[in-house]
Amino acid sequence: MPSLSEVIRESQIWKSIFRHPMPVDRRNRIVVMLTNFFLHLHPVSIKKQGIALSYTWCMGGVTFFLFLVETVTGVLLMFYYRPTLEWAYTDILALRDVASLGILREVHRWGAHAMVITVWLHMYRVFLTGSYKPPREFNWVIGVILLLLTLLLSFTGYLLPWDQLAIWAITVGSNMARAHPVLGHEGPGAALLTVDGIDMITAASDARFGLLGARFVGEETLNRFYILHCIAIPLAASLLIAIHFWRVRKDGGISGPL
Amino acid sequence: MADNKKMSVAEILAAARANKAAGEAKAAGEAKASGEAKAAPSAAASPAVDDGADSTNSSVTVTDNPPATAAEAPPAGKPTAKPVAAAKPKPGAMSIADILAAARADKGPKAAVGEATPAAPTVETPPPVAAKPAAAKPVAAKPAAKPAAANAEGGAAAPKPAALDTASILAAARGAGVAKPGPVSKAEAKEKGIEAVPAKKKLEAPPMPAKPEYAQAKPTGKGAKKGESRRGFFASVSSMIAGSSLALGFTSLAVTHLLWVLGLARYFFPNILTEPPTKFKVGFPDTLAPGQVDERFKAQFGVWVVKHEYEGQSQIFALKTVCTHLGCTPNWLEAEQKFKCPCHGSGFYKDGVNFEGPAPRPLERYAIKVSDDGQLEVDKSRVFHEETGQWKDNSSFVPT
Repeated sequence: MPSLSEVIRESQIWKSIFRHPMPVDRRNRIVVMLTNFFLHLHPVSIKKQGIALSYTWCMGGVTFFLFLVETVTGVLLMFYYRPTLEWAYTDILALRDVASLGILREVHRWGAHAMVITVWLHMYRVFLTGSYKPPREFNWVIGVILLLLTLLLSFTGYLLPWDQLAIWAITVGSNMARAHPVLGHEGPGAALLTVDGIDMITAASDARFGLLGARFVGEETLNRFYILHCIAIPLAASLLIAIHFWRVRKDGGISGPL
Repeated sequence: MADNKKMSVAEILAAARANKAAGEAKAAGEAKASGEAKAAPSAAASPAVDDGADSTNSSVTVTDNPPATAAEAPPAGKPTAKPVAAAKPKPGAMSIADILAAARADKGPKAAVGEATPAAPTVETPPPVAAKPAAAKPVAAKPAAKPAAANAEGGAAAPKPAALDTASILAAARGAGVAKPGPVSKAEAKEKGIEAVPAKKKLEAPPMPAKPEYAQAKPTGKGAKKGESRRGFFASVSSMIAGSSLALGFTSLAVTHLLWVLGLARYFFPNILTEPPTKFKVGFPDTLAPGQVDERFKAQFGVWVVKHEYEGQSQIFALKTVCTHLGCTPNWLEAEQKFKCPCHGSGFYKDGVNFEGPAPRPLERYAIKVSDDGQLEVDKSRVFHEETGQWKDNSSFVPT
């Protein structure tokens, strides 16, 4: 009399999803790994030194985990947040006080803080172990770009609650852009780009204007930062993360010998 | 390692060396030696360890090994593939496998091969070289040494062989005549008077085949070969620019990408602004009391309308409500008669001049004038900085 689990495991439905039975030897394990979409992203086996915590600190992995946490909680928060002047602040309050599992908003915020910390720790570890040396130097460059994207995610996400802290922080931060040489309308050299007596770089056409979408932090800025925070920068970061991991694998696996 | 049926490689080698050394075989005296030769290789082969005998020179003493008949050691004798024995290997160009097979077959039939002609043994019992001549050599040298000892007792002395290195033996088996010299050390080469490393033959590269038609460089210009090409007018024109269809493709791709990137950059600068208008009216000049700071338009327009003295002159001017430190909105503190920024504590006098905190310069003024209907009209599109003397400009104030 076959047991229930056997009946299930022999059923057509089960076998159509899981094509191979539980592995019993190394060859079976490899087959299962390589024919599974999620598992095949991992290496079949890693060297023992790759999990030496005192060497790798695992900060890169923790950062990626936090990135996933942020993505999931972020998507969930999008169900109850509207990026308009009328609703942004109120919706955040509602998430905190009224929505079930509204703690998601705090988890999202804490995860963001933690991710910035772990990104720096990861960078520090890579530096200490010399894992930026050839042939891994371009992976370091990708990592620096990822660091900038992480900080930009924090910057754009900070505006979304639309409270005093958010508005003024972004105002002050974006005011730096107007002092940029040539590209900022109050920076040195802004008058250089003048065509036929018409200034090309003004308060309504400099880098700060392009960033904010307006001359001051307002509804256009809120919308723009919402899209940057939820779609544009995460897409770019995902692409770079994939390349970052690929390079680690191809260069010999995590914490491989230099 | 060797089963009873087959001679081990070591044995074969030893026998072959013995064969070479002694030349023609004499059946009689060698039977005993052959037995010992057989026994010795077995004993020597079993440890299967390299021994002290390093070079073939040490086996020179093995000279008086029994001849071909020794190879036909009786105990091992079990007829191996008869067809192999029957099929005499060709004298020239024998592969190692052939040599080995022949040697093994040769050992099989005890007496049969013994009567073989002298020529046959010479050919049939060439020492099969193991896959690793290096390994076989020391192993072979040892069993070779043992039979040498045995033969020394036997008393048969054979002349020293010409060459006992593997290459020579192989060459002899293949009937190549003069053996292609194997690798020799520089010292050996000096001794023998040959080149240590023979000069490499220069390889003559065959001439390149003719390029197929599709790879030919196409003639440029519309007038070229009109009759042959099926390309249209446009394609032939663009090939003048790009040079080939591949280059044309990539060029147009690059141009498209460049246009896209430029368009994208422009896309990020909006053409529609939802700000309040830059020019607006702020009431009549008489409604302002001297020393008053009008905050009615601060929230919507971001401006204070102030009636105060500046450089001895009573003026009405419009101050921009942006702190010159980092851009926050200061507050007018009526009781303390100063503008105070909540962000970092910058302080400004009523006329807008900074006096405390991190603000580096005074507040900015907007252009202000009296419009046609007598009201004050502020124009936010023009700002005036005090530190560059622009407050002397008439557009920056209304004298009262």
